[in-house]
Parts: sequence; C-alpha cells; structure tokens
Amino acid sequence: MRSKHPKKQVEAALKRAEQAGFRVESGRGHWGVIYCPGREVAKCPPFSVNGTPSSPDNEAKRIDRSIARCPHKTP
Amino acid sequence: MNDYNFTLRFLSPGRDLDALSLELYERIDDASLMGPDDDGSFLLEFDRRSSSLPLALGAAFEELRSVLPEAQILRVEDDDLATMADIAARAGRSAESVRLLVAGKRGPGGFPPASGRVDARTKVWRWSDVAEWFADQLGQPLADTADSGFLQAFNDALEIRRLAGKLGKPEQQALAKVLPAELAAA
Repeated sequence: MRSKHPKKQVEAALKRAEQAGFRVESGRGHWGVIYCPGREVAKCPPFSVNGTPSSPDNEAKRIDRSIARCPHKTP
Repeated sequence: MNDYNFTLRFLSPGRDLDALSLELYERIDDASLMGPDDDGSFLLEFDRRSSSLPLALGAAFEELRSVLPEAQILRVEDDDLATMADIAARAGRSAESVRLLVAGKRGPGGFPPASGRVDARTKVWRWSDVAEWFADQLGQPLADTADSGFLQAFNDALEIRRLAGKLGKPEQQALAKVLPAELAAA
C-alpha cells in the first residue's frame, strides 16, 4: 500500500498511471518511483516523483507525458 | 514568454535514481528525473518559461552542470509531445481549426497519427511529426521547426565537449581551428 502524494494534482496523475498499469512505490528517493508495466528487457526508464514540486501542475503533466510515451501501458 | 518542455540525457556513474532525485529535486525546480535507461543514462525533463528555447536550454544545461559537475551531459532529447491544444497555440490557430485538420475535414488530409494518449479524451502527437506536416503540407513552418537546426548544433557541441577531454593537444588545436570565430566571441 503506497502513501498518498501531498499534492492533489500529482496524486490524480499517479492514479492515472496506476490505471494504465504502472506501479507506484512511495518512500523512495525524494517521494517515490513509477514503474512502467513493460517487461524487464523492454521497459521505459523508471520515473522519480518529486515530493514537494514547485509546480504540482507541471509535475502532473510530466507524469502524464511519461504515460503517453509508454508503449506498454494498458489501453 | 513561452513554455518549453525538453529533456537532457546524462550519465552519472555510481549514483542510482533515488540518490540522484534527492540531489536534483532540492536544487532544480520544475523538472522530473527518469532512469536508468538501458544504457545506464538518466533523463531530466524540464518545464521552463522563457523568451526563447536557446535561453531556456542554456540555463537548464548550466543548472544541471552546477548540481552534478561530474555528470556527462550527452544530449537534448527531441521527443516533445503536443496535445491538440498545444498544436493550436503553437500554430496560431483555433482548437476547432486543428481538430478539422487532424480529422482531414480541412486542408490536404494525412495528418500524422497520434503517438499516444494522456487520458481517454486527450491524444498527443510527436511535435517533430506535426511541425514537418505543417511545413510540407501547408507551407507553414512553425516556430519550433526553426529550432531543429539549433538542437542539432547544441547536441553536436555536447559531443565535442565530451570528446575534447579525451583528445591530445594537437587534436584539440585542430578542432579549435574548425570552430567558427563567432562561437568563441559569443
């Protein structure tokens, strides 16, 4: 069970990531890490989530872009 | 002022994602770290508001270099994604006009396919595909298309910077002769 991100825009983007099959781990690095659903040999690079982003909207947009770029996501 | 989104790829041997995120996020605002990629490199995606891409990119390069002086900055990635609203803003058209171009109901048709979706209602396109289509099909070169030459030169400069440290004095002198004088004076 991961913890909730303190910024609501980022939390909403994390939920979109999870719906697309990504795994979110909290308590890692600055806040947490998002893993793409691809297999070990062909997956997108993990995404490190900022716990105190200066612009939560832009942080959420970057998470959304990484979902959009990922060819392994659940449609 | 415009909004720019770009990504710097770099190597930082001996550090993992979590350690790097602690160092970078405390000192660089409005950027996201990804990695390691298959080749061990990391990616730092910036959102910047600036009067030009060269200003924004030059400043981001200096920020990363000052926080991680030992990192090897490899290149700026050219995979900017744009929604229909982004395309409208960059092309100076209404959202409806872009929607008609995408649907082939206006213009020559054959708009490039979207490269993915942000959510169920929002598609995204690779900006380079869109810019090429506007230039080729509508004869309308978009502002960011003009940056492709700059981005290529920027990446070549990063490559020269990376190699220069490995070269001997005669090779460095030969390189210095090739570089145009206006660069040294800039």
